[in-house]
Amino acid sequence: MSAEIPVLLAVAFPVLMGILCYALRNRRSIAALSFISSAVLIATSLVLFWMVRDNGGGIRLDMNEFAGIPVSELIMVLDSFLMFYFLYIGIKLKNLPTIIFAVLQMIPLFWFESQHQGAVTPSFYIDSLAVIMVLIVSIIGSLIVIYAIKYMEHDKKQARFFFFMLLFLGAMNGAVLSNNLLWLFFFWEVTTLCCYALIRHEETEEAIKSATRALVVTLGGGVAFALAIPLIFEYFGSVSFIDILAISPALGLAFIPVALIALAAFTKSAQIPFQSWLLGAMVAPTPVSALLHSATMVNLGVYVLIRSAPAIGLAPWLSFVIAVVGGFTFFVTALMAVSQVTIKRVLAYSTIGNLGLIVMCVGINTPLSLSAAILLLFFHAMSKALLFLSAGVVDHEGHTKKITGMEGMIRSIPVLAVTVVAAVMTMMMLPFGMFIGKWVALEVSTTRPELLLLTGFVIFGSVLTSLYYTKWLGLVLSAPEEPEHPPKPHPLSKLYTIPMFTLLAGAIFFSVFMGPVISELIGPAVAPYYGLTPMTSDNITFFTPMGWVPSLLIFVLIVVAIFLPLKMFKSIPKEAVKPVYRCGEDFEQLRLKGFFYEREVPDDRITRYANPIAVILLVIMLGVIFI
Amino acid sequence: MNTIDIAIRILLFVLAPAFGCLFFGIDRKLTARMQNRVGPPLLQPWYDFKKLMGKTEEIVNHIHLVFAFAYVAFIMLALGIFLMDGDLIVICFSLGASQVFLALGAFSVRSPYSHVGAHRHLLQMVAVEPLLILAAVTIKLQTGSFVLSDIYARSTYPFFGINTILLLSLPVAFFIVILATIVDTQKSPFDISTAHSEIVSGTFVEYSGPYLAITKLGHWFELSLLFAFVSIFFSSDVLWISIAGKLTLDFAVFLLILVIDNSTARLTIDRLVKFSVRIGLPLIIINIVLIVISSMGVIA
Repeated sequence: MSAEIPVLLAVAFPVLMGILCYALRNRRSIAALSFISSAVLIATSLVLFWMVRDNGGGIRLDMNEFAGIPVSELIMVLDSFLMFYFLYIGIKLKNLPTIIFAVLQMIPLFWFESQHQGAVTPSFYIDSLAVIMVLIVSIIGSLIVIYAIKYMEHDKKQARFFFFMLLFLGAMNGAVLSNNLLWLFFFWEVTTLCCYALIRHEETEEAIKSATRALVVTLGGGVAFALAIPLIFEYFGSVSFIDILAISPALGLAFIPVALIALAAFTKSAQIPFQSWLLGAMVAPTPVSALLHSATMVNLGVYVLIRSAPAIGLAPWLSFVIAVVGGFTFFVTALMAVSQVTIKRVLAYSTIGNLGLIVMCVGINTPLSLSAAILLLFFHAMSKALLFLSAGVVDHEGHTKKITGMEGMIRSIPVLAVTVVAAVMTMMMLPFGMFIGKWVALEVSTTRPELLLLTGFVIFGSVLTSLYYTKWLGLVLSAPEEPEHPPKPHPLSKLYTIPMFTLLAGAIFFSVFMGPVISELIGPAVAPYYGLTPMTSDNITFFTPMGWVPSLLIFVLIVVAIFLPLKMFKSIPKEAVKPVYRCGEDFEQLRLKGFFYEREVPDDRITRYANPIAVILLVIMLGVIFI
Repeated sequence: MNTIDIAIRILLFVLAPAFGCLFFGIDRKLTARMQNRVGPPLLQPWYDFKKLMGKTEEIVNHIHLVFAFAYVAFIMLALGIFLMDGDLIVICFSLGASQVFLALGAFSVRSPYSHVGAHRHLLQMVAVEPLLILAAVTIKLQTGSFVLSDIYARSTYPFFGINTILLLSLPVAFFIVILATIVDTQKSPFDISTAHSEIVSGTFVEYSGPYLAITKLGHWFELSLLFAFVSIFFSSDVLWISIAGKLTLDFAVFLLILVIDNSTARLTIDRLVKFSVRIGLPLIIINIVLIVISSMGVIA
């Protein structure tokens, strides 16, 4: 089978369904179209996975012209429209930076298009790295869309909402499959637009402000990207991604565009100092947050970095600074998350931090660290989507956006509370995928003396991560005593539970069966540029050249620890359940609230110190090339 | 690994809690003598344990128990990996995981004592865990590996023909490990999260009967693990020197902990964190810098 149909289904089909949603406007058809598009996307991503697997390597697909349509020219035209649309938004918002960035994007782009032909062969390149991204976007994205059908049921502007959600998924698939940098840039800009539109959804003052901020920051990144394109053509002689990566340029200046692309990736992945847009994005409805944090937007930045890793690796200083930015982000965001009371803000800091860890792994630039980066990307997407979806249900069913509001949720909505606990465990507990990634990152950072700073960042970041997650779970778990006749908990909608449980099952399943994940996904993705991945797992033990984790043993222990007391509990008579020790006091009115250390580690003050440091790092990143 | 080797390792694992039990027995006896009391019999912790196991079960809720079991499971895991000559970082993280579970267990009952204890326990983890991992990193830098079997084989610091005493090359890391041991054994001045006279044993307040006994068992394992960690700093090609050296080192640390416990008062949690950040962290950084510099050949 030719790859054209699956690629079209992955990129164009969701867009088409989105347009239909927008046109039909009634709730029934929107739900039906979303379902169809989700089913098709999931199937397509699996088909693409099998095709690449059978092909034993990247599939080159030429679609500059398809069924008589000049696709390449079409994308150029759409791209120009998009540029002018950004300009229009900027003028409408009376926002000077937006206008400036929109214009700045046009200049290099139009100049380049007037000088050169935009089409390259192959236009799409489908390899294992792209397939991992397509799987994440299509499967996790689709689950979020299904969840959104229920979540947004009372929303007035559903048609617009689902149009942008589906467009987002299509654009993401397009971006990760494109081999032509101009096409990648076009899809990149479409995701910027979707992100802006979705954050703005509620149209409140705060939503508009946050959306504008997101637009400014990501458009700024777009400017860096647009500037990089003509420079890349100048130094590498091509805008085809695979051709660029095959060349090792002689000239030091050739790393300017690489650094610019890294800069663009930092804005997309919300690395410090660009984190503010992702924190502001939490005003959007929860499915949007889930999509931005796990399936789309932020992943695009680290995807481009991982993709460009061979080029980055040729410039040791550049990759070192990238690693420092990532490690620094991981540490600082973990510190800032400690004082947060809002659920989504904690999760946002956690996302930024974990992406920082991925960026750091790309910067370290060894086969092992690259494998860890992809591993983290894969597992982070599942766990973070799950946590956001849980946060959405907490908001709708528990009526709170605060961690303190989740106090004792284990009694009021037990299913949800257990899901949250399990989700957090997959984020930080050994031997789940995220832990493995962190562990490899830590060990790999001790291999070169100059990287030891990063070791410190990873250690403190990881420990602080366990601190803020554990004290959150602490409030969820602190259940009041069971009343005589406990009210029957209100069952959650299937549209909520199915996506959530699927994600949870995925996060656990793939952690247990890490072997196939490495041999089928991560290995082939690293292989073309770095040879065999040094990680292996036979599902019993996980090995790297530096150490090993007895993963199966730990899973068995976890199962025993959960079920042994459960079995014992059955034999304990009901009279044995006693109230807690009160020391003669009355706990009826007890509110625990927990500790947030707002005085010790206030995030606004840390930001004031962290941002200048990060700016200096970025200046160094762009500057070291000239040395 | 031959059969005898494996048998010894399994035996050590089984005997680990006995070692922990004995530690507390000697501790109580010596403390009593220092205070001019006769003190309980040496095996008092074991008698306590037996008695607790026989008590009627009283529980608060069952999630509380799940976390107690998880705490013990992860401590046993850490010791197990240690005895399998595993990866030091994984050992540290699984020790950390057990602490997280202990805190979660304390959080899962609605008692202010328990919650205060859990919060303190977490902060204590934040203060000590990074230092312990950094100590592991210094060992790696010195020996080139995180895996214990390689560490034993590769640590070279010739000293009177005994070619592998890490203690002499990494004194600061050793100090940090002792610090971690004092904190994790809940000894003064760092018995902050289970301060019995202040927050009625904090993290453990709601465990009773057999379940309290299980947490005690976990604590004994934890102690053995920490002393095992201490013993990394001495190893030798000659088996009997190695064993004698390890035991001597452990005993010295044990005495040191006792003296410190009996001569200091409890600190507050913020002072522990500050102590860790202001003294422990700079010390270990200096040690790392020295290793890096010496490995580059600047200092011979």
